[in-house]
Amino acid sequence: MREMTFTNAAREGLTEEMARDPSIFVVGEGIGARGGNFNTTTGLYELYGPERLRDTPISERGFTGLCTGAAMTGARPVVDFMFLDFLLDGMGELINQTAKIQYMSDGRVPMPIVFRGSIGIVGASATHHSGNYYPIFTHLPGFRVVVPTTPRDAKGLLKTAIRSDDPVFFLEHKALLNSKGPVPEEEYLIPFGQAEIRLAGSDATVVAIAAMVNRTLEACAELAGEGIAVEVIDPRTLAPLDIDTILESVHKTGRLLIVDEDFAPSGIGAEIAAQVMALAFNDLDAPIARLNGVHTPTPYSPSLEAAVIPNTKRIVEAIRDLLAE
Amino acid sequence: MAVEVVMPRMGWTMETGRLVEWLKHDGDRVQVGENLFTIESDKAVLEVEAIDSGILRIPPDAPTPDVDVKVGATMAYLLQPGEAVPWQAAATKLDTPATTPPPRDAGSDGHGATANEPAPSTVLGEPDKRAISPRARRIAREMDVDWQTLSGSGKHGRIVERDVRAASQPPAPTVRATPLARRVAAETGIDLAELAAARSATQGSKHISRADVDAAAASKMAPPPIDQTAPAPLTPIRRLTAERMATSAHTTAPVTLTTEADVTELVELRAKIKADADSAAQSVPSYTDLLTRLVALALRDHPALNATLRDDAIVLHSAVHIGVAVDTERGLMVPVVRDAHSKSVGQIAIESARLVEQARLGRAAPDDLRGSTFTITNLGMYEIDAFTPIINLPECAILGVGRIVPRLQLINEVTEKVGVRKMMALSLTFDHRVVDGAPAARFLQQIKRWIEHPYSWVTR
Repeated sequence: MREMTFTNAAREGLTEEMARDPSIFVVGEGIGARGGNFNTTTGLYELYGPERLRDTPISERGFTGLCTGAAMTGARPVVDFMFLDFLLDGMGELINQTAKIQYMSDGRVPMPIVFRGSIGIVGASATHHSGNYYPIFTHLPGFRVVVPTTPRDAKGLLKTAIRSDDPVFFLEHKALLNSKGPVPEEEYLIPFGQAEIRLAGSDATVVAIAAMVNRTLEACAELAGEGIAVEVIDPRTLAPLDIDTILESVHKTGRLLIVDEDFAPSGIGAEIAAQVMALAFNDLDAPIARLNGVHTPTPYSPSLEAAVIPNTKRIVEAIRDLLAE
Repeated sequence: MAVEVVMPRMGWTMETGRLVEWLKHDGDRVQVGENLFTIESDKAVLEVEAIDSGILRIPPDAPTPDVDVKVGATMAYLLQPGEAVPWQAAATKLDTPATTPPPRDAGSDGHGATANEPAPSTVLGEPDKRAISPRARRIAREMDVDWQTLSGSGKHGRIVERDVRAASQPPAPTVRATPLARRVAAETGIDLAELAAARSATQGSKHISRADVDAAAASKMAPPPIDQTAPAPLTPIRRLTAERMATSAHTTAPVTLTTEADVTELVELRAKIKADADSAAQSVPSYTDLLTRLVALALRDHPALNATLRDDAIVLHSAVHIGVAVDTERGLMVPVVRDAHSKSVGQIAIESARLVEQARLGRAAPDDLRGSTFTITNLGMYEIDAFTPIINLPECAILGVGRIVPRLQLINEVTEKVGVRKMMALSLTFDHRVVDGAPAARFLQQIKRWIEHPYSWVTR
């Protein structure tokens, strides 16, 4: 199978969808002729022109509301925030309008909109360009939240996001953008709510979010040398969350660790832990463990930044601690 | 005042009773005559009823099922409402106000129960010996492992899944063997783990070589040692049977006489009774029932065989109580048909059917299982001919009944007429201390003749 980068695979998905459906258009800063800060739209301006690749001024709240309105009329906007951190300026529109309009209209008004943006802590981007934020959106009713980790998933999930009639957050971790992986030639979609078992094992289950999947797989390769077989689950979508795959794995292993670069309090790990405890208490052989990024604004200093992210060594330690419980 | 519930003596030979199950639970209100528990004793399972009314309280150290309890031992108490349990102070504490004043906010009922509950451990990391993970508890339940006795290998001594699994099966030792030994073992079907375990006692943990596997393969051809199964504790029935059989074998002077009786007419007779009984929906007497009646009548003519040796006297019994050996799931039982000499075959059939049924269910009353003066044991259904039964003391003789089998017989010596007749082997074992060979032979001869000519006794 051909190899592609995460960004190129996602862009191929966007290109295919725009060719298929003329109601799809992209809005964002520098996504026109420039092709996007992260090359999310490179080459599309030449294909579809300024009508469907709309450059905007720095006005997140404005174009978030504008695109929400466009979606209400049946268009399919893809709002490209570059850094998800800037979507926060449009939070009032997002929460009070975008998320609620289907409910308020008794389902008569659709909301087929995709918000995409880069997340995660990479390369001393400092605290305004390093947020993850997904628990904010999984907390709210109405949103779909997608965190792809492979080029194949990025393309398949973006296509599903564009075809969804619900508002979707498509969150691309900056550490994954240039990672390469196999991508099928033929068209495919990946449904929401289906976790992927990245590594099968029987001693412990690790649910890893976004870039932490790769860090965890590195840690597990190290532990495999000692005969420790860890099962690694990539949820792929956080809302809806495929709790069944996690429960099946915990039924097998009895031990669960959630590795998440985002903060621990009220985070995805807390939600997964609560669900597993409620649904599979008698499968648990140890308290559910979490390994998170440090609960602090992300430091600019590269050495301090490295100190707040769960790395391979810390994941190995966390798995060892879990097995010692 | 607390009324003690004790293990009753259900028969004069009973020293202990085995608790089978509690029929009432701790705290249940019971009335006089309600059954409290069942016990197994002298080959019977019996229900024991309450001799008083009250609230049943079972102490924490009360006997549990399958435990032997001495006759007279306290099993539980019957209390009146509000009465304190009569066992140790620890339990009393839970039912009476605390000796230290309860905290002000503990409620106004005066029961300081909350004050007596152990305070939850607030010190993180403090070892708690009984901590167990939910999964380990579930698996312990599924595998029937008592986790309370386990020590945990988890953090702070928490019992985890591996502890429960380790407790439910002996750990498989790692086997050290040469590659060649492994291959030969696989080919010859030798279990290396077993071999290693057998060798470790004598030779330590040396590698298993090909020679070891060859030797094991050779000895595999030999019959396995007989002590391979774990010893099972004796059931009360087995223990009693063992004692009685050993006593009989060691004290009596047994002689076994065997003969063969032509049962053709008896078979025809029974077929006719059966045809009549079936049409009248009555119970059909078995051959054992017919023989019970026949032997009872014969014993009236031969009282020396219906006797007991007691110290320096021989007691001839006026009544004939026939014990009938019955094979049950729980072991050999001998229910007794009382006064068989004065009962009709029909009565005997009804009574023995009831006795056998109850013996098989383990519900026979003690009186149904003792007091026989002569025993009949029938192995005919297993295609046995003659055998040497063991005398059921204090009786002095026992009749073993063999199978009914058709044979080519010489019917008339003069005309040399032959025919197919149904034959039955009879084995009479008697105690030569009590009775001599000739009277025993005459008794057996009469049984043989009566079997061959049923009209001579069915009218009696």
